[in-house]
Amino acid sequence: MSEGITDPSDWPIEFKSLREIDSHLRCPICKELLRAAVVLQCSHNFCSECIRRHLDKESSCPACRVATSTSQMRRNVALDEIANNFGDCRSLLLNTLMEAVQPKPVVRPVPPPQFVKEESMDIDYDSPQQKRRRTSTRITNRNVSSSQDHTDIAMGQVTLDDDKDDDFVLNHRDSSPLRHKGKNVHRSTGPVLRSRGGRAEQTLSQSSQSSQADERHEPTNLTKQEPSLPTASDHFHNSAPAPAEVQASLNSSTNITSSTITTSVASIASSPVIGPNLVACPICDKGIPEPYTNTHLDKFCLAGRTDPDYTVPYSLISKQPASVIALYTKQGTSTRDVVPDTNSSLTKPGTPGRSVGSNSSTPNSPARQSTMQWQPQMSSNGTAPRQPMFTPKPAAPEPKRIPKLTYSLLNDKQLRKKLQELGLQTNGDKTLMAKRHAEFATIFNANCDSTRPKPLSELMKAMQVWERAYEKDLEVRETQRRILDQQQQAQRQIHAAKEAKRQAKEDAAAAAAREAAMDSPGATPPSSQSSNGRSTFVPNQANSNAVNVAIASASAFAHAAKYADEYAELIAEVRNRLQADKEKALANTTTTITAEPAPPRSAPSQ
Amino acid sequence: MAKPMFARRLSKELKDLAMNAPAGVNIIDANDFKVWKLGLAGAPGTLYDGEKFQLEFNFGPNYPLESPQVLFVGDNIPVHPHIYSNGHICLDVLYNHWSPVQTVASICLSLQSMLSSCTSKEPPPDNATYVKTARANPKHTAWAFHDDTV
Repeated sequence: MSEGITDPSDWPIEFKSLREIDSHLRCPICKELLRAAVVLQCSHNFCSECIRRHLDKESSCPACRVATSTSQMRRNVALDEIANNFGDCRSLLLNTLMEAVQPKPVVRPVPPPQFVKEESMDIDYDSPQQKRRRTSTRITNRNVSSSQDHTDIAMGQVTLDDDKDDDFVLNHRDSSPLRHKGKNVHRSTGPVLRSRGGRAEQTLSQSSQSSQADERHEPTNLTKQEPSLPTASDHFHNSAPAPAEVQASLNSSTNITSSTITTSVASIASSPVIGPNLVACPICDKGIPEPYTNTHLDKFCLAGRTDPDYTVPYSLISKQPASVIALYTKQGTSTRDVVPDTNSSLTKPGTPGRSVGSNSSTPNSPARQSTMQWQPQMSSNGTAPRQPMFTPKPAAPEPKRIPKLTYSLLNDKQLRKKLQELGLQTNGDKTLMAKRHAEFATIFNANCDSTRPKPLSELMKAMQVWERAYEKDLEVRETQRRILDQQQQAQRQIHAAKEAKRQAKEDAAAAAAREAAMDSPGATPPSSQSSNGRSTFVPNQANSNAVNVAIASASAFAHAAKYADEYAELIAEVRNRLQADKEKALANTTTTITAEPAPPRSAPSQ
Repeated sequence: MAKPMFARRLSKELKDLAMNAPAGVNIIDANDFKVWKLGLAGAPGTLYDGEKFQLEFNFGPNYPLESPQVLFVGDNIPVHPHIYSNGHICLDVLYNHWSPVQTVASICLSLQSMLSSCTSKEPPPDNATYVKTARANPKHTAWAFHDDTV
């Protein structure tokens, strides 16, 4: 997102209000979408970092010049979230819009998500995967001893790594049953899981079995190794009178014909297909591929991070044409482990039945939606041991801002200590240290204002970049100063040389005047004499007047010589005219041939 | 953040200028993010109707936070009570009243309004002395902004 240069004018002209929204979500200083939006007293909004930098220079609002200060600005959390999410979905929205504007507006009638939600009270739309996941959860819950907790932590790391390392993911795909065990152990241990999965059990165990009883039953039949599907369905038949919905969904995905096809099947079939395999995340409401739900929840939503691959709200993406949804669904799967938990534990990965099921099943899981209220608990419960890995900073809700320092009141030692406390470099002179501290305080405090704070390591990286830029800037400035110095020196030399020339000219003019004052018979001799005298005379003059500078600079010398020539020409011309005048006067008096004045004129002009 | 802030912002401004520049403003030369040359035409119905001027913008690395250097260049420098014959412009928003929310386009508009509101074409009273002593960068001049009418 940060790479592309985006602008409100990207939006087609037909969607003027989108342009407006875009421009209003931008910081007027950097013209980017607001990052860590803060609002001033005058109710103007800026990026925290931008306005902090501005307020370092000037204590007024850039937009209206009302006096203000950093202490008076407040986070604008709602706006920040809006800007963040707008940024997340911007490119997709834009692409979709462009496609829609150009060829054919494909708008499929899509029922609002609420509709599904309501239906879920009676009919379980749950996809087979989710159903089975729950059973597998319980299996694992049962079979895995408490020592699994260790694996869990290790697995937590694995899932973290999944983000970056595809090969790694592939390797772990085979062992995913184990992983899911580990992952789900936490959830199932607490009372929370029951409430989450328990919601499913509500429909699942309509035979007045408590969910706990359910749990007790199921594992008895299911074994730890990948159970084949028939076993699963058998299990449902035998141990607990499974609700029709489950079987129906199992059937639809596995093509196992079951004796019990109930009305719910019909309702599934007739239910609006919202998109291939896409559901809304119950926490962030982003559209995510259904099999990916658990991975998404564990890695991002419950960990308080945002999923970089699935950034468009479900309500938005679900309204797009199927092709767009398919593309969207694919975007993360190529780079990330999306192996559904259930897939590996109950069916073989890549079973054709799965793909059929995923297409035909209604993705939105009501169970998930209805468990929304439990999420806070879950996150505290389920991810507590992993917390430190996801949020590098202490989990305190409001990290402390770095106070501004009055650098002039600190000596080097104190300043160095301050930097050390912040984990910053301590080299350089006081100016550099003060600048470093100010820079870090700015980006750190701005980061505190963000609703999506970056880890401290990224800030440190930014500081390294700043450090390099500062050095470079210093170098550039140094060279610029040197160049300026040289230029000034050269100018001084030229000036001196000019001075010398001026004097030369004066001398020459004086000489010319002397010559002019001389009598007419010496018309030719004086000109040759003066030109000779000038050519040797001028450099001498320059030497005598500005010995130190003129000698040092050959260019200035050449310049001086050039000027000398010019002056020589000038003077020669003047003299010619004078001579001509004299000759004319002579001609007038003597009234002789006109050819006479020609030779003297040509002589000095050479 | 591959590009620094000033470059990102300037690229947006350039795009904006290219697509919908204010009336009478056109880009002459903007090949980098250091120096831009813009053409400014006198607004019709004013003293400068039909005249064409050239503006030079010099951007520093702190650009939106610090004002750019703005001067008139070329052989036609407007004769105006607040524009010196070396191209320096006496306009507060270019110096101590600069604010980072301003843009190149907004500066051009300010200049155009400054030209348009002029009632008599005459150079500043201290033009001769100023031009002789001024430094190349107008930002180094200690400006005194006294006239609110233009």
